[in-house]
Amino acid sequence: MIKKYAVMIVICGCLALAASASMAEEPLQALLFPDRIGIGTFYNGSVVSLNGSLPADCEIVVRVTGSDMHLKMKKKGKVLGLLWLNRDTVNFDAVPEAFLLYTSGKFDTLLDGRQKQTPVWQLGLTALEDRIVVTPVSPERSTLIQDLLKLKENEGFYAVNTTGIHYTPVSGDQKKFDVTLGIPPKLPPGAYRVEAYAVRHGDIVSTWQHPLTVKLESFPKVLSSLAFNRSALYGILATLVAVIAGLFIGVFFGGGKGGH
Amino acid sequence: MSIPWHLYLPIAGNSVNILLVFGMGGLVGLLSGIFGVGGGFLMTPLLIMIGIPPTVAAASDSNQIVGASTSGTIAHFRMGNVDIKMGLLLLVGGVLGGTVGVQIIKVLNRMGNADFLISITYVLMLGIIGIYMFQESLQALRHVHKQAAPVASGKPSAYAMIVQKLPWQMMFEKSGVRLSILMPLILGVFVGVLSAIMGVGGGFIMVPVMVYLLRMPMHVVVGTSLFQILFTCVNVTIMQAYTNHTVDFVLALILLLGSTIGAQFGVSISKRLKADQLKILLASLVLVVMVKMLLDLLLTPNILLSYIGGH
Repeated sequence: MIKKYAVMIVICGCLALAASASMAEEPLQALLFPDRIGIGTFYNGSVVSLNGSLPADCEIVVRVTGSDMHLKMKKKGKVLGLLWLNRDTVNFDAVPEAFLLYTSGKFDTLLDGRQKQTPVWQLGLTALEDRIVVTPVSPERSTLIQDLLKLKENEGFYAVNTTGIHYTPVSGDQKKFDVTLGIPPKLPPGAYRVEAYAVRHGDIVSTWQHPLTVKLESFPKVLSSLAFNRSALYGILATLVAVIAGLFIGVFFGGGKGGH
Repeated sequence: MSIPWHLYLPIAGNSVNILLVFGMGGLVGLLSGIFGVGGGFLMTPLLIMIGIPPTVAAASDSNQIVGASTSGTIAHFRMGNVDIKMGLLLLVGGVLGGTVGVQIIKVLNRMGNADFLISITYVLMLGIIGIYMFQESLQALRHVHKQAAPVASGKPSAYAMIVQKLPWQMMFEKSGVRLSILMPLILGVFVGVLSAIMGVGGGFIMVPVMVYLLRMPMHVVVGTSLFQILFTCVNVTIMQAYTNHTVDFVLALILLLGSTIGAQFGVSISKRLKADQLKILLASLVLVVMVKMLLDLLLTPNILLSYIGGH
């Protein structure tokens, strides 16, 4: 009899825990459209729309991230105390291929005055400083990572956007959000992840994520396949096309001198 | 419906504005048409500036030069401005020199000194050629310097005496010079080594070499240089496409179209300018590029990191 009561108490306890957990995870609902981007002949980047709803007193943080990669780079140093030249080799690991962050205001305001290492701080670009691994170990680690982040920002692979998020108040304790995600043209084909976080007073209260696929199609796909899979044929064809174009231009323009 | 001005280049991995690339080709073509020398050392940095990776920029430029030098070589051949004998000897030397240069870079890369050699070679070569051409043209324009003709003057220069003493002398009818076949071979090797080290077609080194060291007349220099460069760039295009997958022939075609049209205007401008005026303008251009490179070496860079394989 006592055993039966004990089992019932355990079951009730589990149900209560499950109920409290579902209450703690406040609803963040989102829809990504489109979730596949095709790189066609006239592709010049793309725009993806993310919209949904979250608790009215929360802010939305959205990240587009790529898989981690290894980078082997050269670090410039002074030669003969005068000339800046590439000298040492530096390896970086756990570098995300892309890191596009969208917030509705300055990222620091989301921390709500709290210090580094909080879950929200981990979402930001500066948190990558802790994550990226530099070899060989260098006393200049922080400067090297900051330079890497600056380089990636210049290339358009990393960005922090504080515009592009719009809220629409709705009745009850929810509000709607609409985020326009700009996908840069340089972002290579591959698998990416769109993550959304509902943030309140420096805490993450709810999360959502969805894959985003970028792939080549039509003429760029054919050309890329030829260049990488049949490279000798591609090289000969590229030369022949240039020679024929040169001959044609020569005839058309009556034999210009042509630049070289 | 708006006209799509952007084109995606899968090899470069970026989208470019067709008009911008066409305009860049036109600008470089204009300069090539005016001066009759290469645009490689201008085109590659311009392409890098619009977001094309350095290796793709250099390789696609070689592909573009194949087309440009094909039409140019044929046009000059029709006018009798190509010294095929001289061109072939320079080409053989160039291929040998290029192979040696690639090996030098490989060894230095392993030792970590390749970038130092490349940068210093660029600055020195551009500096020497630019200052020499500038000085000579300036003197000619001021009429204080008689045209250099050491063979015709009373006492030949030391250089002319050495050249005359070399074995296997041969007459190069088209160029109107008598030289040892060793001269174009050795100079071809020299230019080939420098081209491989500097990663350019070599036109801007080859032209002064032909004018000042082989004493060839200017009209034959341009045609023969184009002839030699055509074959060098065919080789480079195929090798780069096969080994590094860095040739973007769509990019090359747009550049080619732009440079050809630009070259037409350049040629008509060059006809209105005197040879010394042309030389002084070219010398200024070479010196501007040299100063820019020197400043890049001397000034503290914004970002200390760069990708391996980049310029």
